[in-house]
Amino acid sequence: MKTLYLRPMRGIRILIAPFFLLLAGNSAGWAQFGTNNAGARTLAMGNTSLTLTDAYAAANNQAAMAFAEGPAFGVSALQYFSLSELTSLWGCAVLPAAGGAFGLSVHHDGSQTFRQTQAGVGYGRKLGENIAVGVQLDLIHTGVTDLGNGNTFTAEAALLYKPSPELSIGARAYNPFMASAGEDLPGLEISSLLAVGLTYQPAKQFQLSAEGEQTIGYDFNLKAGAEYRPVEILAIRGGWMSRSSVLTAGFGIRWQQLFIDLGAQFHPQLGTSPAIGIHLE
Amino acid sequence: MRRSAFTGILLLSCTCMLQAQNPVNEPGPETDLIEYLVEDQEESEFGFDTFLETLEYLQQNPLRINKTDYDTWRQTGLLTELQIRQLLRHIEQTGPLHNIYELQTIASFSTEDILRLQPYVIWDAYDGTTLPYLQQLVQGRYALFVRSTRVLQEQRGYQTEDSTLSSPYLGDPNRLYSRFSYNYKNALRYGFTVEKDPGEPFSGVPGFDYWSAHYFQKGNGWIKALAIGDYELRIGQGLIVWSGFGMGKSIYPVNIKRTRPVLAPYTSVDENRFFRGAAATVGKGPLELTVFGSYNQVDANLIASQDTSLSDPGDEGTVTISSLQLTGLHRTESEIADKDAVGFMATGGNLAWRKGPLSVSAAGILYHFDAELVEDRSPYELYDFEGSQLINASLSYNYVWRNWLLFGETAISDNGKAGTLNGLILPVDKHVDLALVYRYFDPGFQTFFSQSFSENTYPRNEEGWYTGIEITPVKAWRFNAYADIYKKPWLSFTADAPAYGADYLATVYYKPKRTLETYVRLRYEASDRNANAAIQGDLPHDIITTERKLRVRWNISYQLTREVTLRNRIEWSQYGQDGGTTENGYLLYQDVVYKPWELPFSLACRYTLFSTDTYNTRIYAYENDLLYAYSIANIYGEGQRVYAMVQYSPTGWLDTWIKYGQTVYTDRDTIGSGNEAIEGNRRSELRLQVRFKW
Repeated sequence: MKTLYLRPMRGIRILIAPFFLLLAGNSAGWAQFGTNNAGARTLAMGNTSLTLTDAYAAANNQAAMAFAEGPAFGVSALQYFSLSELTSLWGCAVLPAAGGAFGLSVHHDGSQTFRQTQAGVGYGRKLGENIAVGVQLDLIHTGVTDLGNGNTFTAEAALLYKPSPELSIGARAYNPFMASAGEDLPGLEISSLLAVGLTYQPAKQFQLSAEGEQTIGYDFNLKAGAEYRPVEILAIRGGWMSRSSVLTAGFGIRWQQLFIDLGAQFHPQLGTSPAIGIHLE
Repeated sequence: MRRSAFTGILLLSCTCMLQAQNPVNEPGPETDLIEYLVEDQEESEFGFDTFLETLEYLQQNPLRINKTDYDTWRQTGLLTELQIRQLLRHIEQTGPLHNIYELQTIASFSTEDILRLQPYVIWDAYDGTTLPYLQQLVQGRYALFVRSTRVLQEQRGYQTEDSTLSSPYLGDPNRLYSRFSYNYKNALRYGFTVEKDPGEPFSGVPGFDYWSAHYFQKGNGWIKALAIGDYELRIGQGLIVWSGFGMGKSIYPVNIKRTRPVLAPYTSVDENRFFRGAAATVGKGPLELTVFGSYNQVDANLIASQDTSLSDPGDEGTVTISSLQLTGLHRTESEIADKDAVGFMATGGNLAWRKGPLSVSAAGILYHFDAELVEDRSPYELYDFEGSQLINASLSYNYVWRNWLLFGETAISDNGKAGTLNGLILPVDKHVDLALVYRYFDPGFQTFFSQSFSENTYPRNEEGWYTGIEITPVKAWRFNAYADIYKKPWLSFTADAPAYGADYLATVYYKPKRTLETYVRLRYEASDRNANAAIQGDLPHDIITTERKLRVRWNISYQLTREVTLRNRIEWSQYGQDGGTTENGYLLYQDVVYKPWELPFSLACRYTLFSTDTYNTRIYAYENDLLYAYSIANIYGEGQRVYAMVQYSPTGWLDTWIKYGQTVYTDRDTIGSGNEAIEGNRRSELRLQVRFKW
């Protein structure tokens, strides 16, 4: 855990935004492309997402899309440390098709000074009753004021295995070929990460997840999250990440096929990162 | 949902049951807990002994399950708040229970809980007879403990002929302890405790350095409880006052709520944390009021300013307390000079209201010293108490909604600074229990007797979130863990800056059969602190670094035959500060416990090997010891330790214990420092105890 006694003042926010992105990436696994945190539900559960089969599976684990029971759509927004310059937006869709499901995802990060956008097309398919795999192709655009723009392609692959009704095991590799941001932005790397996770769901109303995530160049991140639904319409969530001792919490409300999720992550030094998400299933 | 939110306390009782059958102080979940507590607080004495004794008494005098009231259940510590309330509601709605298995129809009781409760309850109808008061005074059970322990090598403090010794110990190296207790159905208790610590003189009157006596009576009328002499107070979650044993952050991550009655007799040997005087609880209907008054002399270092002695010697107004002495040790001239130096008064009350699922209570306490406390303070002590008077007030609550239990306490000191602790215990499923606690204690929140769920010793200068979980996924396996993330907004003793910290614990237990149990435990702590000298170097200002501690333990216990039990442990400990070197330590031991089936005798032996780089990587290990005398070896350095203990109970009214232990170091020629130092590399200790009961 790094110790910092630093709070940015409003006037210098824009200047330090890229610094924060790097810092956050280093200390909390944030603002990295590939990090499994699409959707406010995931965010509230300590960024554990490898086994969730909701609309955000299109970004979090393409294999999980194969378990989707119908089409699903979701959008979510996250503001790192409550700084508008560090806003992250997601849009995801899962479309079941013969033999599996297609997924579309768009992710935009940053502000005018430093911005990245990723668009991906993926496909997930069951290999057996309880096992599925998924792949995705991503196009990433990076723009840095005064430095230029870069475009690059990368890929990701994922797996979901459900050995029993209570257990799910998920894994995902992102950018395994270590693509960088583009020739015009030398030295700016795209994260490469591997994550493996387990979810234990002893009853319909409760689930508990644990994941380990290794991003090249960063500390190992152990994550844990729980979701509890005391009543049909309400879900309460909590989680934790080992990197920087981040705590997370949130809740979700369901009305028929509509889900609204609110969540936040609490970094001990850098403060609160709120998120909101809406999805349809 | 048939599992309790907290199996912890019931596990405790389960082990106490074993203990009652064979009082060798066998290691088990409760000793595991003690190890944890000592590790965390470095306390050597706390009120765990009396807690276990209550349970042993209960086994001999079981509760009538249909007739036991709320307060009695709370006093036993056998059931959780949720279980007590659901049990009482069940009896109220459907009539008396007919057998113990009917408890299965109550949501919060698991089959395991019921089996554990079994030794402490009976079913026969209450005969309604109560003995006249004078007979109650004599027809209960009596017990007398006599204990003596000493270190066999001569320690430097006892070498009185050595003229270079600045403050020699005035007494001999024996620790002497005796306790007499009388108990009539837990409704009437009286007794006394005396003790002399090693180095304290034992002569003339009063002989023993420490004396304590108590009388305690429970009532069925409007007087609910009466305590005269030495007593303990426990209010809410301990934010303003809690003496004796209380649950907090521990190896039972979900068992975090405190559930004990306000008043209890004091029978322990902590020479400072108790009240002396009288207290009573009166009540009618949903209301209950406890009032208490206490006055005793406490240890303090007094300073008289010079002009006082020159002017009016009778004027005590300028005598001030420079520090309070909390060790309870009176071995040297200066320690004796500080003994009972200042009068300390405490008075106040607690008003509780309970109806259905809701309990609320309000409490207030006034403390007064006979002199002003004026400490020479460092910046981190800026918010410490000063003056002669302190007032605390608190408001606490419990609320049961469905199977959720919400609880908390908010308290304030008379400087306007406050603290609050709020928690939730949630049995989400029959396999999973969750707990959550938030606390905020202002740096200026001042208390004297508080002891609550906190990282610091006292609830001060801390804000944190805690979450605990316990999972029993399939038979024989159990997993529990907690994560606690906190910050200290003001400076602390170890850090010259606001500090952040995290504390994690996880244990996996496997018990495939009654005779085999094993677990693996991992504990990791990271917190900010001043860097050590090597990292600090020549930098002019203290720098803050992160200190990391990791401990991994594997423990296995297996019963080889009906008479022989073996136990092993391997523990590894690691310590480091960011930017510095990493230190390691390990310990491993072999236990053999032999209990012949036919003979009133048992033997426990252990051989330990250890090696730790420094004191930072020290390892704590519980040892079998004299009944109710807990012994936790604090092991560091390099060497080996052996001990053997024999318990012999020739008749029903007599039990005897003898224990000999020796540590041999291979990395030093002097053990300890200052007055405690021993020349040589061996330290041996002999401990004896006799119990008479009738």
